[in-house]
Amino acid sequence: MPSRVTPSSYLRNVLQNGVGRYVCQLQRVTLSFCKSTNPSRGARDFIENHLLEFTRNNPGVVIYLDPKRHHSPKLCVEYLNGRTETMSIDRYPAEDICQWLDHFRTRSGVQINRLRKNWHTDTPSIQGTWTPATNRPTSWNVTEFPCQEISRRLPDKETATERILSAAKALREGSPTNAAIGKETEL
Amino acid sequence: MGSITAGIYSKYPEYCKLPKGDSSSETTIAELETIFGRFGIPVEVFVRDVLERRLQCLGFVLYGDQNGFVKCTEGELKYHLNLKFRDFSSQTGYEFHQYDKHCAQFECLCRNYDSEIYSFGKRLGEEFNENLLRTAFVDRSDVESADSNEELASTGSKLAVTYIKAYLRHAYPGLPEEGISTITEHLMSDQVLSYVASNLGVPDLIKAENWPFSEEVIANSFKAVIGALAESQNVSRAELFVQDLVLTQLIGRDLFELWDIVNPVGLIQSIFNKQGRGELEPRLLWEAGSDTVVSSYMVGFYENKKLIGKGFGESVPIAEEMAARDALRNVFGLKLNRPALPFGKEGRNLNLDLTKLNASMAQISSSPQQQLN
Repeated sequence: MPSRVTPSSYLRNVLQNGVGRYVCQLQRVTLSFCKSTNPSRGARDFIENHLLEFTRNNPGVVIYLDPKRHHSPKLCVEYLNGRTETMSIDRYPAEDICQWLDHFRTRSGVQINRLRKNWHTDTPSIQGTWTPATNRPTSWNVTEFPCQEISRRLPDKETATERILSAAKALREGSPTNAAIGKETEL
Repeated sequence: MGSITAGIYSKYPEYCKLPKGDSSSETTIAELETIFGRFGIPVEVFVRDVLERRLQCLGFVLYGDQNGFVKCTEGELKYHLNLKFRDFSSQTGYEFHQYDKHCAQFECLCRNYDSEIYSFGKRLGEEFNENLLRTAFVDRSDVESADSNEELASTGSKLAVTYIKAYLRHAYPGLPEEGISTITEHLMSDQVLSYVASNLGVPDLIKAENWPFSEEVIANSFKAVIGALAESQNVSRAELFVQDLVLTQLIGRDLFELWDIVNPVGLIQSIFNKQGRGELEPRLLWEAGSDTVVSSYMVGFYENKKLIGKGFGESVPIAEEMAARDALRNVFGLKLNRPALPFGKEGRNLNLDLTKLNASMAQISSSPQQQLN
């Protein structure tokens, strides 16, 4: 499918999360599993060996266990923004469930879309909207063009020629100054 | 006409309509017994208002005691139903097809209010007094509960307003009191607070009469949470809560958008008059494409040949107004390249003076009415 028709969005943060304090966006998890059948073995293993550790580390996440006879196990996660995601964990080993749960825990809950850009800002330009007058000194209103003074090149630092000339001047006047030597070594 | 729905945990719920005109408790209990016969005695039974009255008058409670199940109250029922299944609850049965479609969500329906309350505080990194937090979520429209969150909300609201004002005065010492008040009002508006609260899971816990909850109910509950935090821990903790969750909503907002100045040209002039500074002179700096649809004019405000502010627009009056706004930004200290507000680590030790006031409009300008009208 061409990228133009797939849904896309900009990178965004929920509620400026993390600027003041970080609030884990995962609100609740419902783990439904079967107490007897094989596909739920990993889920049962997870509940017996890893679940308590997860709840201890994340007291802000409510976990519901929902035993359902002869149903395949699944993970239903809800985020603070109201979105719900369901994932089948049929025949998943406990380690995989741990990793997936961690994946859900660290997400913002915003739907995963194709991002138009990998960065986003609400203020794309600091200088404001461009106009023909942006960064134009008003003295140009009364200047007659072409103007020798304005057309002059403005080097941001001393050119090599100028540096050699100034070094030669210093030699002519006596011993080379420390400043001139310092600049030489920079080259 | 009454109805019974059973099997809140299962994928295929039972639904039976009670005969029209005959919805007495005998009929209801008889119907329930057939359902219980098929599924066993339930752990909990949710009862809705009309039915509840009917059942209570004929000893349904007794019936429940005999059979060993717990009857949920109206408030708890609402809580359960409010979460995901609102449509279903309002028109029980008639939305069956819709219910089937949302079966996956339905399985996530049953919640434990105690756990949700516990993790609400933990999630925000705060230690709440549980009873206070419970009270904070009870709206006054909820008939089930004895107390409501009104008192906590007013405490929280006062605290938040005082703190937000002090914070803004600290961050923008040049901004007049009127501007501080307007921005505070914006932050404390139902719209902003309910947005913040909705993204923190507050609506899930609210106990109130009508769903969907109005912005007012949600915002009120959030204010009450702030009040509950102040009473559970201390005021400074609640203030940091406000800073982290409410004041951060100012990020990326143009303050002049929130505080609309009607007559900026008149205002900047009157401020300069009051300060006894020179006459302000608007001058056209540049113009381009004046006869086209993309014309652009740039106007600058000068005081004694010194540029105070400049702005551009598609006509000279608009450009003049924008230039005046730019000049006001410079006067009030709201330049676009101002440093960011102190949040996070920087916002922890601000030592705000809650009593200090900024200059009001009447103090800095000769005719404040020009702006206020």
